[in-house]
Amino acid sequence: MTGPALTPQCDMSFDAPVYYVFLAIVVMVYWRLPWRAQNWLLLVASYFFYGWWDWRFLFLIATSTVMDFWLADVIARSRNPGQRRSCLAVSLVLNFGFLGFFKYFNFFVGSFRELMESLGLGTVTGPVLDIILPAGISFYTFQAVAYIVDVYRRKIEPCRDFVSYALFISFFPHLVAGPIQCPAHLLPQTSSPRCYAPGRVFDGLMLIATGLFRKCVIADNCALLANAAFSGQLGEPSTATVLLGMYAFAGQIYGDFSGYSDIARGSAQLFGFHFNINFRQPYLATCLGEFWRRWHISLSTWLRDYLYIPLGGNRRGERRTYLNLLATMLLGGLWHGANMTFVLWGGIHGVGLAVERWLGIKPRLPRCLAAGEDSKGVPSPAWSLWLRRIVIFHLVCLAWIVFRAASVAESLHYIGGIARWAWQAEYVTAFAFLALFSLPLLLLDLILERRNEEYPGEKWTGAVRFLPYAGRSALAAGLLLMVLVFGAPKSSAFIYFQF
Amino acid sequence: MPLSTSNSDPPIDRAAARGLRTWLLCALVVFGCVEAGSRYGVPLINSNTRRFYAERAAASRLGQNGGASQVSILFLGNSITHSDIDLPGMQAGLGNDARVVCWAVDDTNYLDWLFGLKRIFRSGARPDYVIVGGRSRHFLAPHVRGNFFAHYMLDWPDLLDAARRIKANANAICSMLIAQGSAFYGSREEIYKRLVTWMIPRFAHLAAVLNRAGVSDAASAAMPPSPGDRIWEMKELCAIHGARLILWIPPGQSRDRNAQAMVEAGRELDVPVLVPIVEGQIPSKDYADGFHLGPAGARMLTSALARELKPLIAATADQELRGCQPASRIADMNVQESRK
Repeated sequence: MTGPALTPQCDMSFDAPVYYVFLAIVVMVYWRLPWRAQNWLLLVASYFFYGWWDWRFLFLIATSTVMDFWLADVIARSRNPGQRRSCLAVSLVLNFGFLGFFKYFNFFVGSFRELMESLGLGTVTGPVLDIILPAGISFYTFQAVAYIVDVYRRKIEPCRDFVSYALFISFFPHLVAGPIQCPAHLLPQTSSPRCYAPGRVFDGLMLIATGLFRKCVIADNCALLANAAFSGQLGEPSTATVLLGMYAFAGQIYGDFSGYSDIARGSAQLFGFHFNINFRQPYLATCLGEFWRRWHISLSTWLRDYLYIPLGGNRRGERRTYLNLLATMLLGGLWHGANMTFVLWGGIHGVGLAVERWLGIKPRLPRCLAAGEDSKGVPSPAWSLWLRRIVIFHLVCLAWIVFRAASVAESLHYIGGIARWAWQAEYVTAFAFLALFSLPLLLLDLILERRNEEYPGEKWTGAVRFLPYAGRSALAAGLLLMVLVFGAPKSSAFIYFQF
Repeated sequence: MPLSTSNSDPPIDRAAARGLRTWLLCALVVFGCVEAGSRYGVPLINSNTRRFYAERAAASRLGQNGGASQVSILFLGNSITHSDIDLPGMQAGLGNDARVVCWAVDDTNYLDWLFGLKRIFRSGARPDYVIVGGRSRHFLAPHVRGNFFAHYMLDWPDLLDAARRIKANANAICSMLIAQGSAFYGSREEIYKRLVTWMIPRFAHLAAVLNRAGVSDAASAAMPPSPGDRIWEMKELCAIHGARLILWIPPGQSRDRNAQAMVEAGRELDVPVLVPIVEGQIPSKDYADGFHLGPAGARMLTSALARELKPLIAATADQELRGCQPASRIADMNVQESRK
């Protein structure tokens, strides 16, 4: 049961040198223009960026943009509830129709066929299309849906300027793999002038340096081990290979996606835009609820606002709340890809969240995190905090195995291998390699958690105002040096590009 | 960076502006240091890089002193050529009439060699013989050695041609362009391996395990149906520059399935394809790792290859004795004519 083919591998990905040539040119031209021209420039640059992958995708995003802009306008102007509902329905059908067709058509046809066969109802023939999955379609669809729903709910005014709206949808730093931007946060920024603030540009560059470090040094090196472990190059699944694969993939996916998000946020800041934070040290979470407040925050926020709450959230009794939680996480899992492994992964998290709710375990508030306090604001003993962190980290890692495997059967076979002991001399080197490239990520997270920073050194202060900048510049130089010399020679594609 | 826009913009934070300049300066210093380190430092600490530079320089000078009476021979190939040919033994085997130079670059294949040859021909190399060694999968491989190839073996004018041949997408072309100018980008992989091995001494063994998939992928990648086109192409390139092409296929512990097809294609195109030692003739203890020969095996192979090469080279010497101009001199004269 497989989904459509991945997008062609001619991506202008954030770790490719060509992206930085492109970014530098656009930034230099951008700040020489008045703001309306800036928007035009960013729109053209974003379409160029997207067309670099495959120019045919441009028709899809352009169609979706024009339709949603027009429908939102009709919704906002109309006083007829029926017409408003119809326009909303048309927009949702259009957006989810595109997403469903390109991402899930083959999956559903294949699943239906397997179901019929397993029920003994004979062999069902159905069409299987040779479809290319347009890059970023899951992300910009969710952003467009958020916009149309917010306009329908009259939470925001519809955007009156088409270029500003088109830029909101297609702005290249978030276009391909998010972070999904809330309309109320990004639209006002595309619709009004940005002013040049060197401090923000500086922060943007620091975020880019940190993101590159996470991606090229941590994720790409962990990917070497994870790929070898999951493909059987390190031997049949056994205690050592399962642990290696699991920890390496945990490092890979976190380094990869948080690195991508940092680079996206940093790139946006070079143009005077602000994107909300997408990762907040997720592996330091003490319960699954907290994990989802730290991991892919833009997606979990979207799922909460546009799926969980409309389903009734926790307002319709306990049983319904559990069902809503499970349904939200299953759909969130399916959003990741057309494969039962993602559904199962979502299901594991959904059940975990429901159990936590049943046990009365509450996520900690952000202000408690740095202080090491529990959800009631009471300081936790360090051993208890770390014990919970370790348990949750391993639960999350176990779910990552399902997420990473090609099929549910493969994931079960792999997990089953943990009971089989086998040892090779290479495993010592492999664990040393894993430690070399994953412990810096843990260290980085501990520093960020302790100092409540978004990048290391963000809140450095000094008697002389320039000194913190000099110190951070030196830190960035160190990070860049690491990226250049320790970046894995074989860069792996950003994992979330395929979603 | 100049300001955009309106009069209502807040005043610029001067400390932040200076910080921004410092950041950019620091980044430039880092890039400058790694580039300088790669250009001048890596050859000092890495014997492979030193050998590469020395061999390429020797290959580029080969045959440039037009009046020399020796037949100049370039051995070209990958690590198999480096391990399997005992160069002093080959020189002794071919005698003082021949001058033997070896240019063996690890992990390279046909396209690396083709464009490497173009580069050294363009810089003036005029060997009488180019002797290329590799198993058939090396001759048929569709890929090159990434950024290393782009910096160390490819010449600017051939960049687009090489990109077309390896079906490079826009990203890969950009990387090749950057690698052309940057020694660091070209040798990044070597630097990475060296540093990681320094921190984890047994990393080389792990890397071999991690690369297993890469080898099988490369081996199973779509290959051209016939080696004839490639042999003809390389023969033509050599002929234009006055060199004669000879190929040889090294032994291995596994059978080279396409070796016979290469021999036949060579016969049709009048390019000798030598198989000096067949599979099984060298005992497995004389292999270092299943692909590369150890010193004893190398001596055995070198002596067999020299025996087969000697009559071919003697034919050229006879031609010179009869008063014919060697092909390389004729090619030089043609080039000079066309310049006039």
